[in-house]
Amino acid sequence: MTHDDIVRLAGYVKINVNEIESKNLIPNMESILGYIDQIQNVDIDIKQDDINKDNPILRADISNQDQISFDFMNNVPMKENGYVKVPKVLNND
Amino acid sequence: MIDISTLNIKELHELYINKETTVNEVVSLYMGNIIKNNEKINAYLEIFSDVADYVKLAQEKIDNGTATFLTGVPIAIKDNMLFMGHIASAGSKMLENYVAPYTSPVIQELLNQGAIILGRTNMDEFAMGSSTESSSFGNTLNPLDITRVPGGSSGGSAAAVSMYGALVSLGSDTGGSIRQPAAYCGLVGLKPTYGTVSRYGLIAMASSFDQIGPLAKNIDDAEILYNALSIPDSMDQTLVPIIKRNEYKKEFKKIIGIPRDFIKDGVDPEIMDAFNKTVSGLKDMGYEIVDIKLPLTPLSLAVYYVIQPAEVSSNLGRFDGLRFGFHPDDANLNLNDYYEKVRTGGFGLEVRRRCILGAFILSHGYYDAYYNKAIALQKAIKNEFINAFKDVDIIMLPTAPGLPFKFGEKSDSPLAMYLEDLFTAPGNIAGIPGITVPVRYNKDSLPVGVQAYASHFNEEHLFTIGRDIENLNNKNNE
Repeated sequence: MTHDDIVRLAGYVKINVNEIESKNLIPNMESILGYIDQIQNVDIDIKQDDINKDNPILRADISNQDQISFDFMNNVPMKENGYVKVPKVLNND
Repeated sequence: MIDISTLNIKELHELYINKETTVNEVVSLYMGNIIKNNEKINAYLEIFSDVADYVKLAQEKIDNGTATFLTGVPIAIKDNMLFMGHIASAGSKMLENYVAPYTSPVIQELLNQGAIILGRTNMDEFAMGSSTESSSFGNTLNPLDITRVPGGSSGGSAAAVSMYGALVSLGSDTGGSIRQPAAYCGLVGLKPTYGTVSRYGLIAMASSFDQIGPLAKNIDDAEILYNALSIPDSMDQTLVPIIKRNEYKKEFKKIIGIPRDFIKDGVDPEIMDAFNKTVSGLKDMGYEIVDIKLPLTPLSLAVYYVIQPAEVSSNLGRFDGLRFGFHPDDANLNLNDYYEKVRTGGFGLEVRRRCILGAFILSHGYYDAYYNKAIALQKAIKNEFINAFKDVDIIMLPTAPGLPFKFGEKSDSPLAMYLEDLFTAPGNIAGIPGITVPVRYNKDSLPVGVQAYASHFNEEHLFTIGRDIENLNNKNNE
């Protein structure tokens, strides 16, 4: 794993990693991946049956304007007219 | 005078209804201990300012004859459970000032029963860790030896009970986060069956495994708290209806299975000795002990460290700094730079590491090799347990492979920290209930716990064997 690999992966989850950080991250990631790689040595059918899987019971997906919606807005750092304000997607230049 | 070092919930209830004490008196005793110890131990991040209001309500319930066992019981809650109007930070700078907009059903049930929620306890950031060292708000010390960690991620909840700063507490367990800190602080800790306790209002880490459960000084208290927590809730669709849970109930035949192959290497000799003595004591009490084979189960931790970071990187995608949480004060940033400032500045090292690891596991070219393989193995391990429980009622393992360790001892090696979950992760992978029970202290007065697993929805079996282990402890101490 290289610095460029770490930067690319961190980019997927919107995290910045500098060269010093990735220097520490690389051996850690490699040892973790080395450990989890043991699952590759097991020969198992990918299509496994769950012996006792219970199907989830779904509630109706109904939107509502309850108090929670208003209380939720208290944590919003930038808002305007009851809406969450979002930074511009593109730079001006 | 009440001795809170030996007090339990039923005794406290008797004292209340016989008017031998008041809720205010009891809460003051615990508050006194918190004032005395918390500055050093750092079990609590905050003592709630409205405790006195709930003390009054609890006393009213006692006086008007509507008290339950939990009325007036001082409880600590982990910092990842929502209690409306109170901060829930998940031990992270990201949510340092996040105020819960609603109350989770689990907390609501405690309030309905008149429990006194004293405050929120320290934890590894977003529950990622086994020592509470990854909290953004400082280390929590183990009250039994302040040079050592209390375990994690529910280290604050364990330390709060262990320092007599709460009678019982709530933790959450994704790979061992209730059981390992309970063992490290000399307590009972229960991870219930996945699907018995609502996760609504629990700040998610890895949704397939997260489960709330109790930490307590004894089995009776853990059982009372578990019974209060394991109620229906329409907001969590993974909850299994009570009628369905009852279909899984089994007769208890006192047969214990020991997967000897799994524990033959890598366990501290003192822990192994305590484990063997407990098993032999249970045999003397009439339990049948059988060796069992669980060939895939030792892979649980590797499976866990594929699925869990994958879910972490997805779950924590919600922290964008727009709707809540840490955010930069630079209005000129574009959206992408804003996200990166939020997530790089708000998350600590371990959280960032797991998000990046999750991104790798889910990335094109590795998804099948890691994620799909791990999901198949998860099902196979679950089936392995289900089959094993056809012949035994309990499967016993140590709780953790080692004793409470010194601060910093495992900080440089995330893998060494992850291995703390070696014997607890199988319970989360299979979704079965697991309990840790303290059995004795080693020569340095460090606690040792043993762990018992039961089949899905058979928590009662764990309470039964837990009480027998407590009786064994009492006999050995005579």
